[in-house]
Amino acid sequence: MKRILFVAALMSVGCGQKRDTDIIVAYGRENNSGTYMYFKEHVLGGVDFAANVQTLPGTAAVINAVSKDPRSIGYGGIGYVKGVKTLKVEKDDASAAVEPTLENVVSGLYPISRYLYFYTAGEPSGLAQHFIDWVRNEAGQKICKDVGYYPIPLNKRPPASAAPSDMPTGTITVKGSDTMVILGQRWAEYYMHEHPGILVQITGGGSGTGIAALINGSTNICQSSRPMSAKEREQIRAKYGTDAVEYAVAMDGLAVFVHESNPVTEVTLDQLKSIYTGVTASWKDLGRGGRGTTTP
Amino acid sequence: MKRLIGIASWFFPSLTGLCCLLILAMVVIILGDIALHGVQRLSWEFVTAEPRVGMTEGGIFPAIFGTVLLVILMTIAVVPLGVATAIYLHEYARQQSKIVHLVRLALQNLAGVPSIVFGLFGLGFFVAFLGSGIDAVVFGGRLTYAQPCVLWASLTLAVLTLPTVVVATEEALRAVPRNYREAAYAMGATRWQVVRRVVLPQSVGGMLTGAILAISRGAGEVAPIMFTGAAYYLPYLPKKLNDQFMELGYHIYVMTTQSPDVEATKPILYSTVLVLLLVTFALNFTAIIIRSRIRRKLRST
Amino acid sequence: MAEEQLLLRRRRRVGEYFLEGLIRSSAFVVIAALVLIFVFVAKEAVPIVTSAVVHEEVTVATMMLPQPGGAFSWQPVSTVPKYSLLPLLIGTLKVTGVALLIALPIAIGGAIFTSEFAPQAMRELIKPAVELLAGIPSVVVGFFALMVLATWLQDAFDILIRLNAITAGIGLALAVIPIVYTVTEDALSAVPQAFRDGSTALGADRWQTAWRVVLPAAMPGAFAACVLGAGRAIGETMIVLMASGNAATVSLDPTQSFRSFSATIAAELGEVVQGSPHYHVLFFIGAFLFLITFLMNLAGHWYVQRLGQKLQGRSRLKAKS
Repeated sequence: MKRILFVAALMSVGCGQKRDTDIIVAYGRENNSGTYMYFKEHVLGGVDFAANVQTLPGTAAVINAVSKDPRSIGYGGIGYVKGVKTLKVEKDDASAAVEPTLENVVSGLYPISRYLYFYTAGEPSGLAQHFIDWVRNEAGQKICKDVGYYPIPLNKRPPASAAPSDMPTGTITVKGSDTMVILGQRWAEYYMHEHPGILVQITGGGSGTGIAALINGSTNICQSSRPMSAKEREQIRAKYGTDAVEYAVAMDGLAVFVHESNPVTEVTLDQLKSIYTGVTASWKDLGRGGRGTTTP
Repeated sequence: MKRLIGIASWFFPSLTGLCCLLILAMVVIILGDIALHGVQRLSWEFVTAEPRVGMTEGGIFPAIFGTVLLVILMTIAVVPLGVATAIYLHEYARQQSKIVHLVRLALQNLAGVPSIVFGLFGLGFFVAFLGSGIDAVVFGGRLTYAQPCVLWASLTLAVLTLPTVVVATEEALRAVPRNYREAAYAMGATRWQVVRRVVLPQSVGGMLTGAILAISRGAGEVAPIMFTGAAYYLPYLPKKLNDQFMELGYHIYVMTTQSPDVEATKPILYSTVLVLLLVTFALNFTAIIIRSRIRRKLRST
Repeated sequence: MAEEQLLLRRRRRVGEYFLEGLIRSSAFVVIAALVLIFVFVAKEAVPIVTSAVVHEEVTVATMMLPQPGGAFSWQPVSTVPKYSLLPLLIGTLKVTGVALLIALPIAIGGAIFTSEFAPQAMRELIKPAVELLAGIPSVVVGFFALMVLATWLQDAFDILIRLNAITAGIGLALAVIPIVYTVTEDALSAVPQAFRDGSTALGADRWQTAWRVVLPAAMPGAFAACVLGAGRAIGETMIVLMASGNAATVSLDPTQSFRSFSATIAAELGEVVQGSPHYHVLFFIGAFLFLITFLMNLAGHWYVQRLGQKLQGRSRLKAKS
């Protein structure tokens, strides 16, 4: 018995020995997050992630891991990025490397950014309508940056609606994505300050939970970091006889980051794809004529 | 050969001693690390203030409030049920009967069900089945209880902690001397009167231990409440049974994996862990003291 | 007057019957709870077997057999969702193996020391320490493994991937040690003192007594401890969810990241479309976990009982002779 244990211990140590210091350790998000879906669709072109990409339950966990691991790479919402080195991203070999700044994300120059959404079952009315309009206009959009998100472009904003003439009171419930809880909370704080008498309740639980709540009627608005699936839209139609309405409420740039000691400064979408689908396993192989791709 | 045996006679015992030291070291390292980092941020304000600025400042009051509410509801549900079960097992049932055997088997297995399965059960049974049933019958189909909330989370935890309460109560019942019961029966008391007037007053301590151990277990469980009512962040405290709630353990999980600013949250995170540990340890410690008294009584009879 | 008293007594009797009924029925609630847990978890897993809609995406066979191209991958969110349970099974076994490899020697060694060699003062120290360890919530252990332990291990051994089966396995061992220790220690203390006295009288020293006489006598108990510890390791969620890296790899290398059954449920259930094939697969995994741990618990407690019978049987034999 003792001998078996000993051999097993030796073997496990042996496995750790054959290491390649240039290996890329790739981190991503859990497979149900909006971030995961977006990245898969827009960067990987729908191809599956490699099995050895580590999927952590939150962006903070990804940042924490990357900040401590010299060989690693990760991605996540810009708002979270601290203590790691953000890479410039090139759409393809011909285009310039772009930093995920406010201007570049809003103008669409930065190639990997997405919208965050509010959903309602059918056209909203009354209070919910007013809150959504408020969020999508100047008053709400200027708050996005406080919590690390970016405002939607001007041409996407609705005409400002006048506040309902008889100062209404009541409750608006918003439920959904955990990514957006802090943002929603900030909106609610400001909105309630401007419109006393209205209570906005923000709760998280996940995009899926929020959409389920919208379907069974327990929330007025669902906030989601992923687009609603066809099946969920069908369920809304079956229950309410009307379509789900989608509102873009903020922009989220996906930053790609590495350890601070990593000399790499930029990355192309193709390189990202080959890293996350497992084609490229080493920082050495990342090279395209050595441009910004020395080994850490 | 003789020398080998001589070496073995002190070498192996010291090896096992080393194992004990390792266990002690683990406890000291974990608790030391957390206490050292956690104590820096700990203050009265920390436990009474709400989180601010995306949880990077402020305190954890809503999480403490939610945890307390959760375990109170859980205790209300689990203690009567657990005590009644223990009384049945020890005072009413014939000891070798099939039923007793089956109940004990169920208890042992209930204690071994993975906590995440309790989460699935809570979602499937309490939220989806009971909740929808109540809504359909009482509220005319209006959505009230068919959603994750503090009531369902606490009931899920009550099922999880049931074995703890039963085991602790039974131990206390066993400590009540046989001749007390016999004396009571001899004076013509019914079985219920014996239980109510003689056995129960003698075993309050055991019930208390059970309740405290259950609370300490319940306060730290995260997996069962993830899908049955705990919330990432709430701007208000739960007021009704069908409100969601924030909870210390879940708050730790959320801050570790999803906080918007890892470095800024770290001191808060450590302090939250420390608070959770202090709460569970204080409870455990009380339970251990009460239990050791019961054991002493058991030994003296 | 007398009639009134009689009535009062009868009313009290009715009340007693009612309360006694409640007490009797409460015992059945325990059995009912266990049955309900299985029924309601399995209920949501049944569509995997019966529903034609679900079958378009996943069947029991596709969860077990290799996918086209011979791969076993867990990619539930994909244009072609892939639900191979193999990576999750391997991940769960891998981390359970590592955790047991660490926990069993330490816990059993500790238990032997406590019951056979330790002076009383030491015993008073070690037992509360184990209770403290048992009292640490698993989310705290997960936090510690993720934030502190992972860095220590990476710095010390220069491991490539910080979150791996060793990191999570050590975390898990912290949760398993108290169970194994307690059950083993109980078993060792249950061995009658006469065994030790007899062994000493024959000239054995304390180690020989412990290793050759006491431990073999308590073997079913120690075995039960291992089975119960393994059951706990398989079902533990938060530690693995936080410290495993959750990559669904098919690899036995303990320095690789892995994904376990329990962590998969915890990570994916919150965002999944309710009623979708993916949702049912997660409940299927839950039902599977329930059955596995159920069987292990049955086995564990069967061994505990056998220990009792064995020791009782021997002492009865002794009493006769």
